[in-house]
Amino acid sequence: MLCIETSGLHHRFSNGQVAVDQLSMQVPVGSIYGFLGPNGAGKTTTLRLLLGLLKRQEGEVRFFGQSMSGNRVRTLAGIGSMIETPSVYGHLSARDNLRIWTDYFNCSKNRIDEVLEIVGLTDTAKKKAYAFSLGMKQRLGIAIALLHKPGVLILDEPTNGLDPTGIIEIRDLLKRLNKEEQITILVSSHILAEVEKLVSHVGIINHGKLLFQGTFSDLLSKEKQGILLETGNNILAIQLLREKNILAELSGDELLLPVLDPRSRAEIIDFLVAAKVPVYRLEQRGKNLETIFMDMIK
Amino acid sequence: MGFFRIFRAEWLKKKGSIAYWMVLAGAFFVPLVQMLTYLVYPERLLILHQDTGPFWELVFQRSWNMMSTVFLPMGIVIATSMLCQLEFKNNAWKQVHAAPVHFSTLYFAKLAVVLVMLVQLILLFNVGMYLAVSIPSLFHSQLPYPAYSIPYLHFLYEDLIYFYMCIPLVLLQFALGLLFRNFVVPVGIGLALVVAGMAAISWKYNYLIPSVYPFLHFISSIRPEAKTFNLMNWTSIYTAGFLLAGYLGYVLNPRKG
Repeated sequence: MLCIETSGLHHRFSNGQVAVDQLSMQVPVGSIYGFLGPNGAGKTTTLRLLLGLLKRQEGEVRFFGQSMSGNRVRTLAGIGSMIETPSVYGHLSARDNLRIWTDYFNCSKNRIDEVLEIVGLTDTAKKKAYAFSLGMKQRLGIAIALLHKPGVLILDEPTNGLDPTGIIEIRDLLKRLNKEEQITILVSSHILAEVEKLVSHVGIINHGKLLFQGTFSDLLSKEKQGILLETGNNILAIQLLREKNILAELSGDELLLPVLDPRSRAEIIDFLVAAKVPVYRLEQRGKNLETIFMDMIK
Repeated sequence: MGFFRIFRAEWLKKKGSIAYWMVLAGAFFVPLVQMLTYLVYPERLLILHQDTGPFWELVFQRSWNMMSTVFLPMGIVIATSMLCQLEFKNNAWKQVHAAPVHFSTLYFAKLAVVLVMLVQLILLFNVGMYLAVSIPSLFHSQLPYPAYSIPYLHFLYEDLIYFYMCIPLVLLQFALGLLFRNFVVPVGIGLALVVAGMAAISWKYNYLIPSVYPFLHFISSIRPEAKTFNLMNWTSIYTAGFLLAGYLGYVLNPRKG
């Protein structure tokens, strides 16, 4: 079953630039869906369209099979969100901030202590929010999103600007929420290393178009397999390898060779060294999100 | 029920904010100036005690004279803009609009907070008036304590009319405050209107400028013969117009945070 589903979602800014182009996203129930893309790819615009913060121009948005059109209030009652920077009233304490949102979400005041504990802010509940670090504000933002026990969390770059400890804390928290509270999480990010450790499903967007969508293992299987070779003279190495019927292509500062058995690899090294081409490194290309991502958005 | 819940949330947002302090400062500024004047020049208050006219009504008139000209319209412009600015300043519009609440409920709950703050300001201003003429008598033996009976009902009635006269300016400022992210724009437009109203006070068609309505009511209350137009009707027309324009501007805005 799908938790979030869009079909033909399209959005054009007033200057004519297409921000989201016929996007059909499918987020399965119970998944942690990483929405990846470089800056300006259309991630935030898509999330704003999902939440109704931008007026939809074309296409449809459905949550748990129900169309958002004409059901805005009822649909939003099941969604927790944090878009870009957390919305925190700086002149109020964490507890007062949460009191405001319990009224908005029409939920019990008892939830305040529960969510403060979940995000680890119990000891700072009375502190004014302007004195919070960015990490604490992010956690308070997540606490707000969790107040009404939503079925789905939509988080836009929740670890932006956090230090490594903060990133790990937020990642662990999201994993826990997904596992223990069965909350489906849609999280956008451009930090690949972080997404790699968190998500079960991935959607890759660039220039408003969805380039890939599926499970994380599906994505990894898409990677072009081969051998990476780093030499002191790549151009000469390509020519020499061609003489031996091995097709090498330039991939950044390295050469990408087809898959070879260990004996052939050793022979290549001997061959190149004998031809006075220094060989610095030779390795099997690993399954790496970064390379797949870069290949896709090229 | 949903409206009161959202009103409570909106009311909590202003706790300890600049808008909250503006109401207190706005309510007590004129009385404070008057009290300091009477402490330094007690004979000016003594004149009121010796006047044949009703003491409290003279005090009420003097206070509203200062308040209705500049301070009340300016206070409305700044406090209303500050309240709307809370959402922009804290990047909160996107969270507010992603909450399961109807846009109309949000609009009217926020507006209700501004109007209740205005009621607070007017009532506290009355308290300030009382203190401004009472405290000097504790320091100057020649000043009697103002033990005259207070015409509460008359004051409340007049306060109610002043409140009604302020509504068009509140609605205009509220609409501008919700529309512009940059705080300077609504405040600039509002203050320009207040200054324009002051400059045009002797103009034949001064009733076209809604920021002068409290002062026009003050003039008509002391000189009923000076009134050549129906201030209530003009207030009602502007109220309906600004309410509709502000509501549509907010609801139809395609970008909500």
